[in-house]
Amino acid sequence: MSLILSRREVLKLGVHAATTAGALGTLGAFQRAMAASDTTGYKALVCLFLLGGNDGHNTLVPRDGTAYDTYATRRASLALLKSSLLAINPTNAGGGSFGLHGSVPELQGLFESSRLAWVLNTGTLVVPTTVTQFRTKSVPLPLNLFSHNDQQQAWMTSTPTSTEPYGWAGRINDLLRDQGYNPRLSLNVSLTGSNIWQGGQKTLGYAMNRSGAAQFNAIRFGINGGQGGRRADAFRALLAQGTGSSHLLTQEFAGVGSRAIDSATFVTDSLASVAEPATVFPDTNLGMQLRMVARMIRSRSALAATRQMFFIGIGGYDTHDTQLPDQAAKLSDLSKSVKAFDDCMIETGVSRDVTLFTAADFGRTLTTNGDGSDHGWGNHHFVVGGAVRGKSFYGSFPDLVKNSADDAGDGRLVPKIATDQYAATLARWWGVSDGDLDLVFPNLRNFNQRNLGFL
Amino acid sequence: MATHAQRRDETEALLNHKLKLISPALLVLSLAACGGAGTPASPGSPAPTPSPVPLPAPVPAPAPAPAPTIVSKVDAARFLNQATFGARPEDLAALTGQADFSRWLNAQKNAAVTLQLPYLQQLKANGEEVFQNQRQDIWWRNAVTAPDQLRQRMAFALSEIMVVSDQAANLDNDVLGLGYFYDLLARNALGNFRTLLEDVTLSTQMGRYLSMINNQKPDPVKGIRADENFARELMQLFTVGKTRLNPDGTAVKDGSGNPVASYTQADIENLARVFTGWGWRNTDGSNRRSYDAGDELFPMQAFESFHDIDAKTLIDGVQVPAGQTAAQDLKLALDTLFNHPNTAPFISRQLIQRLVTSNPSPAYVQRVATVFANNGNNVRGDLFAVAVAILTDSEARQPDLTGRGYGKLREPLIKLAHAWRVFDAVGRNNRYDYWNGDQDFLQAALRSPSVFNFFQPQFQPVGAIAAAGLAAPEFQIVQENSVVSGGNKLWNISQEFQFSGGLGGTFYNQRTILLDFRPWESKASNANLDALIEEWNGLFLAGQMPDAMRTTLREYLLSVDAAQPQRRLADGLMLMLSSPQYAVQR
Repeated sequence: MSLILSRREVLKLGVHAATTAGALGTLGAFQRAMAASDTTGYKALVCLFLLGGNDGHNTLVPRDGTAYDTYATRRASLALLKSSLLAINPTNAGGGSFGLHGSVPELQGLFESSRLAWVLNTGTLVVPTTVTQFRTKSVPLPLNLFSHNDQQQAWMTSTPTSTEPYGWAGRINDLLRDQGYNPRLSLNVSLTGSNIWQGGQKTLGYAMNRSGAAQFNAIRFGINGGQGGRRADAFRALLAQGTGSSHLLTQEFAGVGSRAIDSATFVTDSLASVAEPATVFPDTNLGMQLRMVARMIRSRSALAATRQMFFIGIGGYDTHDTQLPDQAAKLSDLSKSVKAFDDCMIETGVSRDVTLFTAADFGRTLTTNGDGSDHGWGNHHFVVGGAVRGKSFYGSFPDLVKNSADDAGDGRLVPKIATDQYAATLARWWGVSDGDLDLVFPNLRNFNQRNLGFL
Repeated sequence: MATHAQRRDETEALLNHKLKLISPALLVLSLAACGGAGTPASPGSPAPTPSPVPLPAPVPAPAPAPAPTIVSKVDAARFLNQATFGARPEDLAALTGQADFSRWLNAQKNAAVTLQLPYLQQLKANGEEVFQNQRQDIWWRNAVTAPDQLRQRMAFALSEIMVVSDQAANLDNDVLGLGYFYDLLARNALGNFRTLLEDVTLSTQMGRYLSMINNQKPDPVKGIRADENFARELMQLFTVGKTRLNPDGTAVKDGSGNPVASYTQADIENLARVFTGWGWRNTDGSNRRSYDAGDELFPMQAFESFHDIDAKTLIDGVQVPAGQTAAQDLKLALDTLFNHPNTAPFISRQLIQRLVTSNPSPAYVQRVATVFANNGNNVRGDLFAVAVAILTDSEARQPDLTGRGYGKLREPLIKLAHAWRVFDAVGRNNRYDYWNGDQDFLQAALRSPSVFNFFQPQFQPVGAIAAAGLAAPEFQIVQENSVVSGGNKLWNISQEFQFSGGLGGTFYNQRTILLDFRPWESKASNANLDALIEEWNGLFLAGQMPDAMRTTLREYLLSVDAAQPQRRLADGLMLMLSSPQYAVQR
């Protein structure tokens, strides 16, 4: 007991220290130099957040006789037909046979051509946790497990015991800023509006939409001077007055408006400086968002960006109801869109410099509520790109048997890999130094494996 | 249903009784805060007096003898912008100079409920195919023109707490049903929270949105558990919240300083079993739960053979005995959540955020929650009393306006409604055919991307606001892209008007919603310009326009040809609506 308590105390200190402004702000110049992250060349991460919590246990499925039978029994009416699964042949799964959901032939192709890897049973954790430790609460656990917004936040912050709204992409951005890397446009670009992942204490994300960066009419119609020019001046003057306001909300609104004016022209011009890709993307919300991400990557020189992180959130994965048809439709779009993105990165010649990865609130229950599943915990995720050591599994496939050592109840699987390990692997590849990883992921030290090796 | 009607009648009677009693008390409250003549209200205003009676009374500690006062123009404007979809000149004139707000509030309580469904049904009866567009039309019409503004504003606030959305595939075609759902919010918006909770729970719209409809009891043979979706969000979002709360809405902490959870996963699983057995209503007496045309306009019905009759243990160990009917279980569960000590501060705080300020002091939350718990006549959940408590509180009426965090970011839809109200706007087809709020502003009525609303109550934009530890929920939908698309919508609507010379702009059809500039043209002359700016200052900024802004507006408007007053009005309005000053309601 006392051992656990003292461990908890240590952990708590760790989390606290790394999530306050002080920890990042008080690094001396020498330490920062020691810890310097790499911003040479070019690297981008693309986060595809499957909002609501994709059912990964029906995206990646065991096909071996006994393993499939266990799966089918456990998932009951949600079980996919064995014959519908798209076979994949991982090089490191001990000869086990697995299949992907029938709606994702493109992902199957990417896996088989070693461009895609699966990271198994991953989820939010504070420390390595067993089912017993979860049940007896003898280790610290993420706040509000199984709740959508809390688990999204925990994924995005990697500080699952804190409610502070700073994400790990934001913290990385803060570090690079301290290091003197401060591009004109935030390196954190969102295609889906506000998200906690990209906000730091010193830096802000930038939000655009799938058709680009629009400009205020008041500014656009003012560029030729005259009455329009005077109106644009008045518009700008009101914003400037707001920026100088002592009221924080007024100031913030003016700040957003001013940033929008500055960035819209820059982004529009940068996008226009590069040919549009030949690759055809699906004409869906996801497809068009990924297309805009691809265009931003293609415009990296004009944007003077050597590092970028993109966020796309796609809803509709909270399949409590009519899961079989609903998830099939979502996965089909996902698969086609991701394939188009990968093709476009190859077309652009940056395939080895861009990695796309999935995230989700949580996995889902293996058990069913009749025609859907409920909120779970551990989940399977995939990473795609030319740098990915693909055709492989990272982590161990969970035991789907009822009351197994992975089953926290009703088939809510206790994760074996922490989101911190997954994210740290991505961040390390992207350029964050090994020393900086502990600042970005304060709980990483609680886990033995700092790098999962898929990049 | 008899018990429903009965409860509603009782509530009404109590309400009528209560208002007479509560008004003087509220007047005292309101005056107590301005007794200090210019002294900003302290966030630590007097807490309710401890009382030996079991239910706390909503009357605060005795105040200093109040000086007589009347509603100033500034306070009238502030009040109307909190309580309605925006102050209009006639509203402002009517309220200014009154002894207090009680006459206005009383009139609002008694105003007939303006509904959506009858309008949609009429269109359908006329042979029109009805889509979500027409539902947006009637939402705008009611926001802009309905006399029962307080009720409509409260209904909108409630629609952002008990969220359903036409973004869900199974509600996309349920146009009349979503009209029915919104009407249910409007009918209960100044009624009782317990009734609201039951009406929402049993609506097929919520039933479909959070997959409660046709849930069945667990079937171990088929490996089926009860669906947890509605049970979870009912507790997390609609009633008690995740964290145990003090009466002032702050989190209860354990010995280590960590927040204490309100309920466990097991509580959710048990509550999920309560909500089994409900399906589409059935008029033929059989056990058939399938949908028939029109069923969406009635509450769900219980089918006992699908209901889990085993015992259940709910939040805080409340026992549901075995063998109860679906309705008995549901009543016990809703009563439990309604009476839970969290619900009053949890809901009160969010309603304060929707109407008045994003960061109410704990004392303010507690004063409102106390009224939620007991309106003074031993009625819990009286939403009219809650609205009165929110709007007449010293922190709403006499705040420190120089505080750097007071107030709230205006919701985009309310900005637009405000402009259309001030300038009596309507389409030439007598419609409000604007249905792209979700694209322009990331906000449209009953069109949230998820049950977590367009924005969450605790959202903190990173930067100075988060650093100050403040919340600013509406900023979740204001970023570089939406501030531009929303700003350009405000530009567009400012350019679409009728004036004495015809129509402004160039691009019109029957659907274009036109501002009426005719009564305003003479006010835009050089001689009247200062008065115009001052009038807009009153309506839009409640008299809080900084001098620099006044100078900018005056200089710009003077630069526009005086022979074209309509251009002055259009550009002036655009500048006003998109200004950082107007962005914040305080």
